[in-house]
Order: sequence, then structure tokens, then C-alpha cells
Amino acid sequence: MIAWPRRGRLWLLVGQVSCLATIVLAGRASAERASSGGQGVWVAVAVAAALISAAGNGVWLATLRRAANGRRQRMFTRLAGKTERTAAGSAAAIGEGGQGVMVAGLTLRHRPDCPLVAGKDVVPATADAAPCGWCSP
Amino acid sequence: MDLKTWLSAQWDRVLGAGAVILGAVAILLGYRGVAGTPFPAEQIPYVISGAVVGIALIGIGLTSWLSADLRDEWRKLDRIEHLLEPCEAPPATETTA
Repeated sequence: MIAWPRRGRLWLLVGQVSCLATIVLAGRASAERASSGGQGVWVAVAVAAALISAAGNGVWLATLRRAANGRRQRMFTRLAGKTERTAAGSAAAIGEGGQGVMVAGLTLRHRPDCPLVAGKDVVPATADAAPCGWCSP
Repeated sequence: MDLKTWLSAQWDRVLGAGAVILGAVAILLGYRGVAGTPFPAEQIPYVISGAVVGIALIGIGLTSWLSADLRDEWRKLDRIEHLLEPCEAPPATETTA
């Protein structure tokens, strides 16, 4: 299992708390100014802190999304490889006289669609292989 | 599932919902403050500590909620991988295949 990405979570938390604290302090500082002209700087500080907070959120979500997409992609590749191997093994078995398939290294003969061989690497069955009791090839 | 277990499992959704509610309350209070005075110099502090704080809190809340959704997807991938493992491992005895 691959671990859920946690790197950077602490930095995100510290950054968000800092941005919120900056905005609150800017609000308090602007309240102490008598004229709206002197408050412009604090408005700019507050808006900048809000933008930095939004950027931090965006980076964090993009990181998580990239990790999840990468993992999903790897899983699809794995599943595609498995399906191709099984299909190729079944086709080969049917092409060689329809004697069925067997799991590589084992001794029972199965039908290609037998659930006991689903998802496993199969090879054409040999003539002396014993039939599977489940699918009765 | 008791409340404590649910809270520890869903802490990011709880944080997200709480931050969004707080943000909405901050915006509402800021609006009331701005509406209560005709002077721009008295309105600006309400804009900063009401609207800007509210928007930042809503952003943090939504990020936390979306992060929880992605974590759920991650857990689903864990479960799928766990289900695939027996198919990939070589069978130990003939009785299984």
C-alpha cells in the first residue's frame, strides 16, 4: 500500500494560520487609523494574505490530485497487463486443440472461463492434466 | 460508530464544514458592521475582518473538504489493490486452482 501524502501538511497548516492571523491583525490595525487614506496599506496587506492563503490551498489540492491520478494510472496499467496476459493464454489454449488451460506450474486442467483461473497466468493444458472438478473441461 | 470515532475518522470534513460556517458568520457580521456606519474609515475594518477573513475561512474549509474527498478515493484505491493481491500471488496449492 502507498501511504497518503502527508508531506507539506504541517507547512500548509502553519501558512494558513499565519495568513488568518495577518488578516485579523490588519483589520485591527486599520481600525486604529482615523482616515481611510491610512487604511489602504492594511487593506492591501489583508488582501495579499488572503491571496497567499488561496494559493497555498491550491498547491495542496494540486499535490493531492497529482498523487491520486498517478496511483490510479499505475493501477490501470497493472490491470491492463493482467487482462492481456490472461486473454493471450486463453487464446493460445483454444488454438491448440481446445484442451483447456492450466495455471503455470500446476496440474489441473480448466476451461478458459473457469473462475478458478481468472486473473492468473495460464498456459495451454497438457494432455495428461487432470480435469478441474469445478468447471469440468 | 460512536461520535468520537466518527469525529476522528472525519476530522477534515468537520474542520471544513466548521470553517465554512465560521466564514459565512464572519461575512454576515462584517456586512452588519459596514451597514451600521456611513463613514468609510469605520467601514474598512469591518471589510477586512469580516469579508476578507470570511473568504479566507471559506477557502480553507472547501480545501479541507476536497482533501477529505481525495483521501476517500485513496482509501478506495487501497481496497482495490488489496483485492488484486490474491490474484497476482502464485497459488500455494492445487486446491485453489
